[in-house]
Amino acid sequence: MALKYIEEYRDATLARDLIKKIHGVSKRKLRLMEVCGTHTMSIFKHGIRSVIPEGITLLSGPGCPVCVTAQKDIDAFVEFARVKNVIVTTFGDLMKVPGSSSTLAKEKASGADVRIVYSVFDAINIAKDNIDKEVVFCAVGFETTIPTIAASILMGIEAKIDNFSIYSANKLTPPALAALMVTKGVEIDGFILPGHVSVITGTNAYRDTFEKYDVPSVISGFEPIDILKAILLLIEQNEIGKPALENAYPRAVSDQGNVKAQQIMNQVFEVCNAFWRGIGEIPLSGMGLKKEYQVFDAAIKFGMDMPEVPEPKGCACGEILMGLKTPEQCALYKKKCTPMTPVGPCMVSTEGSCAAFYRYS
Amino acid sequence: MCLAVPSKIIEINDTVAKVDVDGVIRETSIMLLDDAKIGDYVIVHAGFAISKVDEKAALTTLQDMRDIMAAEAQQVNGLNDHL
Ligand code: SF4
Repeated sequence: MALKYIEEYRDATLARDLIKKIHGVSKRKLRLMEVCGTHTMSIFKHGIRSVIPEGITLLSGPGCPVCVTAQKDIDAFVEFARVKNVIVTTFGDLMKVPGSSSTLAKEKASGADVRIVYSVFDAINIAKDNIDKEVVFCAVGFETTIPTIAASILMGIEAKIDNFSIYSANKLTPPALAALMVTKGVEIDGFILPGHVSVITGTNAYRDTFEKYDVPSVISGFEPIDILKAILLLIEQNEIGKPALENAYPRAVSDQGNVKAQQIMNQVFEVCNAFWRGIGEIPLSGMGLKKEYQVFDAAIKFGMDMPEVPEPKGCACGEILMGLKTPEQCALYKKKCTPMTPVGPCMVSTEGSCAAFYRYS
Repeated sequence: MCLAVPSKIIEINDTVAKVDVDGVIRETSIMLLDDAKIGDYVIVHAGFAISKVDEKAALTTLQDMRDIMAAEAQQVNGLNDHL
């Protein structure tokens, strides 16, 4: 029996008590934002929206890596698939995201070599097995994923692999939170901070943003008890008027985070500016390869520089990621845009807000 | 992309571990962990173990919550007694 701490954190009696307490302390209307696709999924799956007070609105922020990927980066992935002798490797969620002219799935259907991998490690193995081809990995991820990409590159060096490269559209969480706080119209009374990003970064990574904007922030795990507890703490902080940065996931998150993973990440990558879908450029919110590792940079290797293009007309992904709209407020939702015919990435990724609304409503 | 469920390390070969997640055995890199041991529960993300699960913290969090709930229930009962 390896499912440890799952049953315990799904305990129905404790959940009922927490819900009762939440209803007891909640007085004001509040807008709370979760910043993690896995939280979005978990909140829907466990029906958490339906058990909390009506005045508490849960918003899905920029926490699904595919959903925040800029159109020009999607276009670049598609373009790589069109280059002769290239094998494109990607996490499955990216396959159906529409670029300006095509998707990776369509390119694959018309003969391109596009392969879904579970881990970057698999992409390295594909490179090992195909030395006469070039393997490009589409790197979209947050702090949780970036160290795994860095580790794979180090493995690639050790195995003397030179036919592997990555196109980095990696992103960092704290700068995005800070950017949201200064965006006009954005109203957030509390952040449910991402559990597994925080495993790597530690609680300390949010301290600057928290101190600057004084917004209630709680790191949460993924089980119902975890999420209910985070919601309760955020409501309590709001009601007593004392914002705090709290770690409600101490079984996996420490103050300093996973230092070894940070070291490996910082050995290979350095902070750079990055483009976020719907939000635009956020300074120092991306991770690009350091100079010493640029032989692994697919953009340089193939001279790939796609132009900035407008996002699909009518798609409100950007506003949804910032909590300015809900999926139902998008004119295309359920009409032109469905999981079978997605217009934006928020409908493609299983972690996307539009896909979650579609599936569970 | 994230497996929110902890996996148990059952075998270690250099930087690769076999983990058991609810009866399914998978290979996972432990390159990102400092001191992984057989028997540890770890969180796995995209083929890499990224954290150990602190058993003590896991149980303390639950116990603390239960204690608070119990204390409050008692308070309410106490009030009722006075009425
Ligand atoms: S429903 Fe479709 S078009 Fe509208 S915001 Fe979501 S992904 Fe974009």
